[in-house]
Amino acid sequence: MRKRALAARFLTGILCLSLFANSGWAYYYFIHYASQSGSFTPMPEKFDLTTLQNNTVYFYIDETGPSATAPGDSFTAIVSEIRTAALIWNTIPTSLIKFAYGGFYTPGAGSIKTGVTVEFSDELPPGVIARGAPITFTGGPNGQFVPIQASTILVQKDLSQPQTACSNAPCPSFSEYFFTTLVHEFGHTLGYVDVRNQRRNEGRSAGHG
Amino acid sequence: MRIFRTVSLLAAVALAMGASIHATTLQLLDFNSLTLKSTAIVRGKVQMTRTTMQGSSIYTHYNLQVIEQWKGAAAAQMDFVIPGGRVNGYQQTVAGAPSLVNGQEYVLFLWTSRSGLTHVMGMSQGLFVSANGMVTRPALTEHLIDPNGAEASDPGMQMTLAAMRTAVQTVLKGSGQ
Repeated sequence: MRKRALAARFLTGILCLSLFANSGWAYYYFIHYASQSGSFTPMPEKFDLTTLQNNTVYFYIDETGPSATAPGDSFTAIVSEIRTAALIWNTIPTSLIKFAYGGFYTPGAGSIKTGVTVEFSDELPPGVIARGAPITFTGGPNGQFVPIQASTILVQKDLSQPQTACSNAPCPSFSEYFFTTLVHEFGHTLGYVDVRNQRRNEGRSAGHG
Repeated sequence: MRIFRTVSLLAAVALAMGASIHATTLQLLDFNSLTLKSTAIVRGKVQMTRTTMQGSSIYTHYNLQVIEQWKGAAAAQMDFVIPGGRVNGYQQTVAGAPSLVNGQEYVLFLWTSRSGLTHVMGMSQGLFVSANGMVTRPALTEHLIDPNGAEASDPGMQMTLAAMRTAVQTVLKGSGQ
């Protein structure tokens, strides 16, 4: 039964990604420019495949887990859903880069890890359900792209709170909503933004290359 | 039959998601929620001060010189953060995080976390440019859901400063806050 449920979620993710490709909306790389004048050479923000073993980005999950979960949910189930959500990105046949689960990690102040960390956070204000973003090293773009040093996904620490976790209901990991949100946020960890944000972010990143 | 129902459901979910694939995932807050869930509502001028790293996130800090305050403990100035920025050679760019202009006047709906860090409510939902007696927030472009979990869109918001002041006071008075 559990395998069937996981298979259904996996299929959901694949359907989502395939439909994104056919709709007007799509993922684009976050673009940097080396200067604010002259020839504007776009430098996408992405992982440097030459520094990755087997083109694999490992993701790690905050071992402290959520402070509370929705009724019927558990940390084990949440970890399982996060892992499944990440692996959806591995189904894109034209992509060389792959995600793999690296295990748990202990969040530490100021630490920069390689790969992707999924953190249960008290720092998401009401109205923000999840946030994914890469961290780049500003000193070393190679002129063609800006390598991602590490990425992080923040999800609400208290997943039992209807007000902040999942609209007006608690947000169990077995809900489609939790799952598709995680699939979405993993996209941001690879340096992707959507078409509407791309234009705005290009402006913000000018000169930050 | 059951398989057909499952596939139909999955297709519907995928279609719903496919209609909008954006940045940070936001819950659209109505004005009442924005007001009631804020820990402080203030009007003031902002100035970027520093960037810090907290856990795996970089934050840009702003100092707010308070002109008037509608909710929260009275203060002449406040520190609040916007996710993203540069620190120690690292840069984090958070899609959907608002860009603030130094010296600009804003009305801010703020929320302070357990750690003491103060954020703008709902990423940019609680940030209004205040100029010429008007307060304005552009349309949100992030992945939005409404309070029932359905996909949502946002046309932005504009009203007079006086109207917003009255609206905030009315909501607070009605809730007993």
